[in-house]
Amino acid sequence: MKTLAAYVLMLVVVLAGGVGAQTPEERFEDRLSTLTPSNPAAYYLLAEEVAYAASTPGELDLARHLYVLAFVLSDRDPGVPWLRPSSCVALAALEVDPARRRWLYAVAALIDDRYTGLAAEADHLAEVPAPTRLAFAEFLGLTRAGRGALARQRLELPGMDELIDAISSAVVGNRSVPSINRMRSEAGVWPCKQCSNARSVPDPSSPETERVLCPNCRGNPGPLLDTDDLVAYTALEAIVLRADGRTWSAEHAMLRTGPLRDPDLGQVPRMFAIDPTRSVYNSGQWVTPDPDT
Amino acid sequence: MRESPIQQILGVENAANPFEVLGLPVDVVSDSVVVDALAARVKAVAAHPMSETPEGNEVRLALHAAAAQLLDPRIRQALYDRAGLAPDRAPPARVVSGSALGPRAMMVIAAEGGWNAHALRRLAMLAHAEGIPSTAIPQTLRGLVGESHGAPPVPQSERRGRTPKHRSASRESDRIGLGVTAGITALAIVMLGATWLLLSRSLGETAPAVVPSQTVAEQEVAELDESLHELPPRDASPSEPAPVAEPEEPDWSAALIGVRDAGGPIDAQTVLMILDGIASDWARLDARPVRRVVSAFVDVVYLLPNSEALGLVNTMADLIRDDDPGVACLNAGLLSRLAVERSLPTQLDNAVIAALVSTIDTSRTAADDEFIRGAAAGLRYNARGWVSDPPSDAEATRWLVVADAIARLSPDIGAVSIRETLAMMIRSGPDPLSSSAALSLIERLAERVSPTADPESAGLVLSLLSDQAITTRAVSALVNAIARRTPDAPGAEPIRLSPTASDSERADVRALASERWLGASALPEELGVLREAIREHLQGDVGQTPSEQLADSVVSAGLANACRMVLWGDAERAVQLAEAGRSDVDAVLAGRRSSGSPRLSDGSEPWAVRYLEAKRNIPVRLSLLGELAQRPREVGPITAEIIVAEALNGSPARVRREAHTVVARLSNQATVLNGLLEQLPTAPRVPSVQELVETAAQTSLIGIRDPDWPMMARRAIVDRLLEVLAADGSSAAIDTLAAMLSDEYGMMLGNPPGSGERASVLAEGLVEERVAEILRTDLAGNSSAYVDARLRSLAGRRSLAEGTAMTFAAAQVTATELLAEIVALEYPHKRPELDQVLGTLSESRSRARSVFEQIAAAERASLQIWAHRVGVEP
Repeated sequence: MKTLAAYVLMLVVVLAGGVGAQTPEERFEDRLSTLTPSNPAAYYLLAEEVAYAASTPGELDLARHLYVLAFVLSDRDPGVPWLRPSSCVALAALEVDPARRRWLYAVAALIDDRYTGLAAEADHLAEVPAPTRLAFAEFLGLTRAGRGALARQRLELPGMDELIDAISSAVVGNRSVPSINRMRSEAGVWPCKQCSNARSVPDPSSPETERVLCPNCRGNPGPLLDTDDLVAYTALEAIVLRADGRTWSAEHAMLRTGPLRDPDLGQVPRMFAIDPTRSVYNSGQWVTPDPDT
Repeated sequence: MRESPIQQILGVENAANPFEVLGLPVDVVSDSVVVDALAARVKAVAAHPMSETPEGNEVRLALHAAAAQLLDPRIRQALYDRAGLAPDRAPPARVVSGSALGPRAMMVIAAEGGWNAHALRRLAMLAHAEGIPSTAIPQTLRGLVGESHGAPPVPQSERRGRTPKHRSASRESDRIGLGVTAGITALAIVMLGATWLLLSRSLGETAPAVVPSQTVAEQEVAELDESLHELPPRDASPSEPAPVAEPEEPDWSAALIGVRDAGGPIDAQTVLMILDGIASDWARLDARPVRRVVSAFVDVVYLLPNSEALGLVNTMADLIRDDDPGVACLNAGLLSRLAVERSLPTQLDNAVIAALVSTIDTSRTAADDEFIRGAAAGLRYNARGWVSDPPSDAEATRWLVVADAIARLSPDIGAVSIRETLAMMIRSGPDPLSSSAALSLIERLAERVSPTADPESAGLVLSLLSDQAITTRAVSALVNAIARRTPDAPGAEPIRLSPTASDSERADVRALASERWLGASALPEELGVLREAIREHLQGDVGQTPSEQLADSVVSAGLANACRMVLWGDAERAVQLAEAGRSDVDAVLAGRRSSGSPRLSDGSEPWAVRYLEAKRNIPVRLSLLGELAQRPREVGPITAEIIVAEALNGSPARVRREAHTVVARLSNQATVLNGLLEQLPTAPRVPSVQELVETAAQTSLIGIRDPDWPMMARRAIVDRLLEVLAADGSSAAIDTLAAMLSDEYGMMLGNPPGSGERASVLAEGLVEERVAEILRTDLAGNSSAYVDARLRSLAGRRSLAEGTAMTFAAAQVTATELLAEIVALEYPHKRPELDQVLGTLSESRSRARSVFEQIAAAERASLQIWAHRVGVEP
């Protein structure tokens, strides 16, 4: 539930954002001005304090800035080997985007083997209870079958809305998951109002003896889906159920064929759009340290 | 009055006088004089025009009878007495053994008209009459042979350095089931063979005193003596002693021929004993005597009662597994020869085939050289355990003696045996630099191949050099062993290979060897074809869709494999791969475009309508379900959902069971799998449902009572449905092309095509291989930090990979980076170009919007690096 907690935290800090007029840098200016590149651990410790007390997005950004500088500057200070991977892990903890969080864990693992495996575990769906995920998958299947009542029951389970929100945001490359709202709507339409999912109705021409396929549902209750739709919704089930994907085409359908980003130490500052050469806080801004000092 | 045959042929008037019959003066004679006289008379008969007639045979019988009389001390004494000769003038007996059996055995042979089955039986009886226990018979007769030549008897087991397994009494009795009497007879026969040798040598160059049943047999016996003078010269090399001729060794070949000529009856035990004797000697014989032995063996098998023949074959099958290569190869060869006989009883023929299939497993060719082929197969079979347990020097020597014999009998077949064994040791044997036994064997085998003189040998060494699956350490042992024996021409670059040579250095040695031995080298125009293909490919677009990008990757990998072929010396294959180009992948892409989306329903489902009409009419519903079960076909979604609902929840049970059967049969269809997904939430958790889900998903599930079962079952069906949909849909090309890419990677690793290994696994294998190559090549250790960094990077990539396509991409790009390092180590001056290739790759991967695009970029980079490696960069 870390994802949900992060959302709540974001909401709180957004709401609180307009309360104070002071920027985070102004609030922590005294401490910031004492930081020197020769002591990268001080950046990290201050970042922890800022993150712990953060109540605004700006404060979270400041914490990130300090962690990134600690990460970069510690490269020159082999005396504190823990600092670089710890900075990555701290940055990951502040991330909402699971892909970015996993990438940061992978960078940490590049520096320190002990962090190997964190990235693989940082699957936001893994945090959702299995019964909820199963219920969502069943909702999709029941809706496809036109069994609307049972489908709607699944949607009423606790945690379902949050799960749907998290899934809906998944975008890989230029592809995204199929519309969940469409299925929600369909679940409200079915069962068939004419045959009640019996698939057939009496033949109007000889109602006593003959039956014909229901003209409303055409004998096949549920939404009209073409093959691509079926692939997409089956893949969505696979994502939620965390299925293996036996083939590359299945993985493609499950949006698991986005680009594989290399964990790269040099990419950390760029990821946060921070200039690592400006590591000294002076007169309200980050500047390049004076080489003579 | 008509003349008697002995008068006609030898001019003997008084056939009752043994002295006259043998042409001897009536005087005191020694055994040797009698034997010599007999030989002279037999020779005279052989030279007579009537030799091949029944009269000729009658005279031979008379001669042997006369000799028998003079060799019998009591009869001889009686003749002396009749002629008034003093008994003290009699010369000492030729055989001075403590036993009287020796001279009497010779007498029996002579009296029986040569040694044959009758003589054998009489000999056994004689032994018992003399009070010689059964166990002492062999030693007694062996002593006869040894003493007569002034040499101590040599136990058979000592001669061979082993105790033949089939000489175990218990084993023999178990297998053959002969009685004690038969055993004694058999032993006697063996020793009789020894006696026969003595006698036949005493007879000089004459034909043996037998009454052949066939003219051919006579000729063979005559040639046999000739063969005794055809033994190959002994090898003077102390490291490779040829078998030492043992003059006192009985002539087991003659024994076999004699048994055949006697025309039976005979038993398997006897034949086995004679074969055991032959096994120790046959490798010394030349082609003709070997042919005679083989011919005699086949004839003897026909003489055996069927049960005896079966016992013989079964024992011989066991003997193919004997540690002694002489035994193994003789039995393999003889059974192989027997296998081409067309007149064997079916049961026996089957036994022969079964024996061969369970051991050397060779096919019958009905060729004249079937014995040699079988023996060669036995030789290879004998060496089958060497890859895990190389032979000692002594074992190798015994094997090589037989190998040399086969080579003498058939140089081509012998050379194949040597080459195959050599290749086996190089390919699969222990590291020769860690196993002195393996190294010694390779060196000794290498002495028997001559790449400079023999193109086949040259081809073998070149193919081993070209085989990526063979370590450089292993192949270097062979190359250097050959180099030590083959002096280099003055000023010529020596063909030697360091055990730590890089792949490129090894390729250079291969190219040099190919040029030196075969005068072959990669032609510039062949490399030009490859260069042009690479240039054309790299100029083209990667494509926009996953299928197009994978197709591009397959072509890149194919061209990289062509470069690899150049490196390993196979320019012809390289050109083939280069010319294959895009044809295969274009066909896949074209198929995808034409197939389009799979059709889930044709909109008309009459079966479903009929089923719905049936309502509660159970017989009609059963009938309709039966119709589907008997004639499975593609079903639409309505039908699928109906039958799945019936299979899971239908009533009554008969309908449910019938529907279950139908669903199981149609469960490879997307509509049915989707129907299962739709119905699964309300399906009962009973074993039949578990079975149906497992069948449909093609997997095993946890127990149906497990709380996780619903999740696992649904996941399994979802996985299977996606797989089926993809296989028939617009993404089908992805999987086909992924399989083609796997094949290319398999080829890169030297695997056979179509192994079915996942591309991700193969790419990981490639990483391992390239790491090993760097560590082997970079003796200074300058690249270890680079390798370490790449492996850490790979671990990071793996941790970010979701699914096998990404896992493949993670390993693939790492393998590409490692390849660049390998080439940079080989050609330091190319490092800037290689760095540029990697830089471009990094940028392409960063910009990519899918893993397929990244895969294509990495494959193109890999191709460029390969092109630099073999000098065909565009």
